[in-house]
Amino acid sequence: MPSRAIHASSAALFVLIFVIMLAVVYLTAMNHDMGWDLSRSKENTLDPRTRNILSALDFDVRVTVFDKPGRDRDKARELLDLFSLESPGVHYELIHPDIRPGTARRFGIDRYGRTVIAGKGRQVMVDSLTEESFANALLTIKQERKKNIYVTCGHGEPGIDDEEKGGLSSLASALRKDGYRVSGALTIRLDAIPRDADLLIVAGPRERFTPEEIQALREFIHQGGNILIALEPLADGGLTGLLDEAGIVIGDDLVVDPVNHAAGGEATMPVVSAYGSAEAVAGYTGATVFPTSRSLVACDNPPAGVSISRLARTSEQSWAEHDSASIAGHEAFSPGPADQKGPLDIALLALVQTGGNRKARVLAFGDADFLTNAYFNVAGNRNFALNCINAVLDQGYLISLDEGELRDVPFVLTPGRRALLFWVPVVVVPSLLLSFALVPAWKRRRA
Amino acid sequence: MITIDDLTKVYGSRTVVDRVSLTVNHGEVLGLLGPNGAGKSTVMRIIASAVPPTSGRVRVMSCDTVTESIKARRCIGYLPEHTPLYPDMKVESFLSFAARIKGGRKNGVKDRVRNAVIEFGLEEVRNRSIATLSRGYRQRVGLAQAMINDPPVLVLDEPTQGLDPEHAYEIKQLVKDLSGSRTIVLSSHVLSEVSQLCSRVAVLKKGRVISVDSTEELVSRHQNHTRITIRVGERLDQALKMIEAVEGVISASSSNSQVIKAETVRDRDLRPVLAERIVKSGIPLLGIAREEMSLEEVFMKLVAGEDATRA
Amino acid sequence: MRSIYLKELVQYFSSPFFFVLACVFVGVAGVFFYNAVAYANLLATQMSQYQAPGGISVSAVILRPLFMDMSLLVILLVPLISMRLYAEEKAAGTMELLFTYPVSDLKVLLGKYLAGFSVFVLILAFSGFLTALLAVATTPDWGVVLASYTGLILMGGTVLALGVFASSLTGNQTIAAAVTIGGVLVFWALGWFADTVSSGYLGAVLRELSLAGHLSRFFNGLITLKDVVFYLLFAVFFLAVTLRVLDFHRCRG
Repeated sequence: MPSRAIHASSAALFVLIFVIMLAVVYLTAMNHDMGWDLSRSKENTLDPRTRNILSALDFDVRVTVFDKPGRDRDKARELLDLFSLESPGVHYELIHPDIRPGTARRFGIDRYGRTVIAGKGRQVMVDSLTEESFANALLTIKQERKKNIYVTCGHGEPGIDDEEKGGLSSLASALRKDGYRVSGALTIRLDAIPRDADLLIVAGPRERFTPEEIQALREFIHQGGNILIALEPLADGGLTGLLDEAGIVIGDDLVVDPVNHAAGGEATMPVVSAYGSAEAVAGYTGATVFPTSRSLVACDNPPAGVSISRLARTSEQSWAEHDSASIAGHEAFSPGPADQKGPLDIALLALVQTGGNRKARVLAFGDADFLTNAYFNVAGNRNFALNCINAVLDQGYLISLDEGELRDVPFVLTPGRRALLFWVPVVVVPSLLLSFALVPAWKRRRA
Repeated sequence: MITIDDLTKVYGSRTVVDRVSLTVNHGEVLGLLGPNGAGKSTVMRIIASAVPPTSGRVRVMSCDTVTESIKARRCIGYLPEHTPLYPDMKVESFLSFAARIKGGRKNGVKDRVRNAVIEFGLEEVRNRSIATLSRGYRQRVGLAQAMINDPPVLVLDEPTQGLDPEHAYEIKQLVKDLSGSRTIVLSSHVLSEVSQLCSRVAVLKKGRVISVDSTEELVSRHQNHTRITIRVGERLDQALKMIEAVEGVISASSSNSQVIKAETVRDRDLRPVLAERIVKSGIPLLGIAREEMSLEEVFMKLVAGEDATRA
Repeated sequence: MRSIYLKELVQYFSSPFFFVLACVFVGVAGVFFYNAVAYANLLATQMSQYQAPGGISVSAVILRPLFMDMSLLVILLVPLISMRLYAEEKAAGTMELLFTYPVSDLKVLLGKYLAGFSVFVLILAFSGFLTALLAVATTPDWGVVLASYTGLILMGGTVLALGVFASSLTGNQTIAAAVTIGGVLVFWALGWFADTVSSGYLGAVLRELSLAGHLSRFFNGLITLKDVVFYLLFAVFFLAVTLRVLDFHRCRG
């Protein structure tokens, strides 16, 4: 039947063209995918850090998960879907290592769940795919060269390997997670400052730096090096002059805030929630706790080539206590006439234009405790510190404005309510619906 | 009102309607007559836009049923063969559905339904579900849905089929009442019905129109025969030959070994002549009777005769 | 279109069909619900024995399993709703009436589809009291509930389109329902095939075509453009093919 054949083939053609059209629409939607997370706990929303990393992604990433079908694998896929929702550059493949043993062997897979993350010709293998392991792998791939952070020691500073409450191990591991190489620098001489240092951290020196060391630091800044200086009250490490040159004056005082201090803490633990507009802190709303800190003052007339931006300020109720007896704890705090009234700067960033069109950045904190293990994970300290460092090192995409949230909610069921949850859905409502079905039929029969 | 031009419909390799051309004028009632499978229903379905033609075109109120299908459909009330209805709906809700879907004025649905219920005598069953209705009522509901929006053209496919005589009579009365200013096409394989209702008749056979006449003409043209039934004791073949030779006999045939049926001219009674001949030749004559041909037989003959002439 | 829609609703409600279906759906969902609640209660009790407060993720322990179960109920429920839409008309011969009424096939189709859709959503809405009941024990994540229902409704609409298509193929409602359930299960399971059969392009295509695969994000509270578009296109495809089938029937008489 030629006419029937024509009919059939035209129908087939219609379906084919239609399918192609729909496929194009679907692929377009896929490539411009977006999501709306309605869940209260934002379970489907990636951590801002991961989001930032993904949205700054300038290369394609291939993720290959080697796992057998199951809950873990489904989880991995959901996660990967979230990643690719955030960045179109993420492609993934899930492989059953027992079905494709050749591929698995090529990647050296010896365990279920192993995941290969590849991009820019490099690849990273993680034991199991999590948001964190993925983000860190991306950072490893992304950074051509790991940026180096050196932390000074030898002047009574806390150590980066010190896991006690006064140590800096939490800071160091957080920085490593963000893709930096963190190491200690033993002595500070000009030739001892490693040439590859991207940031030098001077946190809480108890002893003074020698003039030679200070000169070395000065040279380091002049060559465009970045430096973070966090000073405790009563111990300036002899760095006053150096900071002066960057337009930052250190107050010889103790910041006291009788109103805004950490809960259960003392007035000498001011809580800061007012931030400047610099990249590092813009939009940040977390609270930061600075246990025992001194005030900083930005010079009204900073030296030529220096511009200063505010990072964190205390509240108006605070003041800078100069009374040494009070500071020593012998007397109660009271704002004296010589005491500077709040708000006080507690963190400043100086941008120093140096010769050869280089820019050095000096991060100054009136406190060093907030970086130590005891306080690093308190309130928003961690994010604040990391944001400042990441901004200084031009890793702005790592800046995070987030604090975690609780996902679990209480579930309390009394026996009476438990019975309610059984009888209503299983018996009452269905019977009600059934009676709606039966009553008209019954009526009809009677009529 | 309805113009059918060279209409052909082919299903697979079967040509169901073969180059049919017809015109139905305003206010005319046209009957489509033909045996089952003659293509009556198909023609009507094409008129009603239920089926597109394979070739040719149909225009209803000068709207093409293919290119201006919706417009054409608005002018038509259609009662399909076997009167399909929704058994689970109530009469009134079905009629209001029909009224609403046929559109036009949004309001007035209630009025139209009420009028239809009265006009077609459905008051008693208005709230009964269609499944519980008798055939007669079903047919009335079918007519009512066709008529609900007062269309200028009505297409009724075998409106009395399957009804007992009383109900068939009722329906015929209703159709008669509906005719007048309306253009109606109805199909039937019952000539008497057609002759009562229609002003013109188109006879279809194997998808072709074999004649279009006014009803009177058709009846008088084909009802000019009288049939004589002759029963003989033996020698049937000889008797048959003899009867065929008698002047005035048009044809003769036998269906079994004793009975001969002879078609004769109408204006003379040939019984004496035939009886005389048979008796003379010594064939035992058991009986002879004369009967007028019924309309049904005329119709049968009409169809069969056409077959014979073509063969 | 409105008249068809109303007529279909009248027909759905002219028999005990609707309430019987609703009763079965809600009853079975209720059993699943109680099962999830009892399990959650067990978990909470255990946790309160070891730790201080009995906190659980209600979304993970109750809502997600409940909606998973309900999605299975939906793919059994919807074919029963869709089966009659065309098959009944064909069996009763009323297709011919519809073909000659002054409405386009598309409007008839949409009217029927929307009527079936309304009935489905209504039945699904009856189950809404389940999550509302949860409020006596805990605070469910209403965002997740909302997203899950959105997913179920979209998925049901897709199955409905498939069902309308199957219904247009036959005059037998039972066959229509069976074909629909079969078809849905195939599309449902495509994701599983995708995992085992192949991991290349074919696997990706199969996975994207899987009906179930697009649900999980809804149940996590995440509505993505991709998933929404998938279900809509799936429905549009089967509705368009149905239109084509109707055209074919019209020509064939």
